[in-house]
Amino acid sequence: MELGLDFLGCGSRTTLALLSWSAEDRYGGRQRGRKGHRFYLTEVFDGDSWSLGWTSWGAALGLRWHYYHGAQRTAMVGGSNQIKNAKLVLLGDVGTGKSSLVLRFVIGQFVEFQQSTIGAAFFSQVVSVNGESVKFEIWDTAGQERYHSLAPMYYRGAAAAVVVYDITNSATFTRAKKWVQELQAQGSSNTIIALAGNKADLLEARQVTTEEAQTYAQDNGLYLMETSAKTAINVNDIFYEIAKRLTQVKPVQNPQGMTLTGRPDDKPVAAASCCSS
Amino acid sequence: MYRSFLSPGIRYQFLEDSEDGTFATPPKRSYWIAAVANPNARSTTAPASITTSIPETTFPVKFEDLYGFTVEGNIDDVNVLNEVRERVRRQGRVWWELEASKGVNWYLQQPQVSWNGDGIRVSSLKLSKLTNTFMLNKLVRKGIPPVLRPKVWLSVSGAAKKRSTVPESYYDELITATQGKVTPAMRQIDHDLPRTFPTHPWLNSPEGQASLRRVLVGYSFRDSDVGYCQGLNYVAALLLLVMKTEEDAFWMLAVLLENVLVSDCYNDNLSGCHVEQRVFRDLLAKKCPRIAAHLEAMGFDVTIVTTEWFLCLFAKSLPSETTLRVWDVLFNEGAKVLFHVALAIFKMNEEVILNAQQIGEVIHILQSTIHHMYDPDELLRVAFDKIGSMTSNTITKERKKQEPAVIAELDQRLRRLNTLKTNE
Repeated sequence: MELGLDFLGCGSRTTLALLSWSAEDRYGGRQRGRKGHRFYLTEVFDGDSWSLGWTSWGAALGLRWHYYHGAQRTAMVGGSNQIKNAKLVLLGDVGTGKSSLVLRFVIGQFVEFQQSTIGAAFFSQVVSVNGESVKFEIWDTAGQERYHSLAPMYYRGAAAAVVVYDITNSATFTRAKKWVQELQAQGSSNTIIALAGNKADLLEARQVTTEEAQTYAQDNGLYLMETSAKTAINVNDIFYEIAKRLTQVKPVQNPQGMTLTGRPDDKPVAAASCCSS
Repeated sequence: MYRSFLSPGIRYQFLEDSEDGTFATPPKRSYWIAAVANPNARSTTAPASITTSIPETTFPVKFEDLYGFTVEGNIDDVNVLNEVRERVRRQGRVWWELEASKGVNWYLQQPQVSWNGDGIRVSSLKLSKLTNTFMLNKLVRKGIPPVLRPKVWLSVSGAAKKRSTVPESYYDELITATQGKVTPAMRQIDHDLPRTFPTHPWLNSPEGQASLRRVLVGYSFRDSDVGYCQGLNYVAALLLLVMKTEEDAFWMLAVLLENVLVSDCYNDNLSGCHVEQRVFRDLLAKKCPRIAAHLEAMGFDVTIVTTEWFLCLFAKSLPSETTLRVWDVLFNEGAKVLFHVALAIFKMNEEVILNAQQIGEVIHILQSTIHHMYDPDELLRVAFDKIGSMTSNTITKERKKQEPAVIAELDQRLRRLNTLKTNE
């Protein structure tokens, strides 16, 4: 009973997606779609209704091929499925609040005493700007000087960097300048660098003036924002602004930019040539 | 009532009932009923005490573990934990029996086995001593009873020996010498004290922080090359919780950095750590070639996750009781244990990692499983039986091979940064 295969050529996109979804779901995993198994239980359309039935390996492959290409088409047409992955790295002196900024952005929480980061921590968050989605893959690095020898591993290939300093500590601003310098010299030339003056809620203890930071940012083509992870001021905005700038950058270089639920290694095979519609 | 249904008594009732003898979790509903039916069943093994519990199908619970850390998990985690404790308790009986038959400090009489490049040199070939060593290795891998842990650690790691070479007042004098001084290391330590396991009640208390401060500051004075490196705060905190006294914790920290781990692991450019990471990358390619190839194709450098494991000795990643079981073996067998355990973590997640297509997915898989590894026996079994043997000797050779590359890389970076400064 290979009705699943027969049906492939003539369905509308929606029904195809439905059909292929079930196929993908059942045999998507490599563990399940093993070669040598002759028949697979799948959802098949027998002309009137959907029911469980048996289909052959070839039909299952056909379904998967259709799923893969169908999904790709939908992604191109629909646009809403298009997610751009962007690697973002946070750099800055110890205790400037890098982890707090990320946590405020990703889970919206703040704790007074954030565990010190060792090596680096990873987070991800999706931001939508102008109908496009940017998925940030955030690397939050350790601040202590001796950990800086690890930093290249994290900023290599980053689309954006947020250099964080503490407005109540001018030494951290000096350190931030060094990071900017290193990024401009070592990172890729189109890395977007943002400067975050954190702890902006502690105005009375301020050591770095907004004017000083603004001048520096302008001279170096950086995007400056004074943030506070504690009160959430400007935290989402800085990431949103980066996302906006990232979507303006053309063309898409990241081959992984388009995320499909299908697996890229599931290449179409000859058996699938029957459904080239 | 919640306490009672976690008791090993009930757990084992189910285990005996199960026909295939596996540790499969019985159906949740019947489990619950069984617990209600035995409201007075109390365990003698101090099961994890539950502070809050929602008796729903998922049973998410918050409980305090043996060392005072609050753990959030589900009911299965608690069951695993209790089962592991029961195993350790049974293991404890073996230790007491050995003490009774061989004398209290039987594990002290070990032959000095050393690898010096040419081969194995055994200082004493007395059969009884050799059997003691083998027995000790076996026992330690099965877990040291928490009560005996301070004593056994001090002796197997060589900390006791190290301490015996200096006057008894060494630690007190060291602490006195630190008073009234301010060093960059001290400032960094003070900054990190409230950020070290901030949810732990004792470490969050003034006494706890003062103790931790003295240990870390004391060590920064003992070895100014290391001074203070972030990461040591977690290690020292856990040592304090186990060893109970500051001085013992201090000596464990000293022996750890000076003898157990590779040198320069925590120095000012972490060069030792860089070497270890490169060695690990090679070992992963050798021991888990499928994972290594898959991750490489993805452009994922494993060291971005493993650096933290090696610098904190898993203290920040594994549940504390599992970490300490790893440390049991670490102090007894040396730094190669870290490679075994790290490889085991990858090995245990092999299939899921191979199915992951994005870096974020892999990191998520590793992080979520490592936080829930409440069964150290499973981890150590994979680490030592499934990974294949790696002698300290081969790892030393690997390190020698990687050292020049690391030094060159660090030098190059330093020079690049210096040219940046001069251009300015």
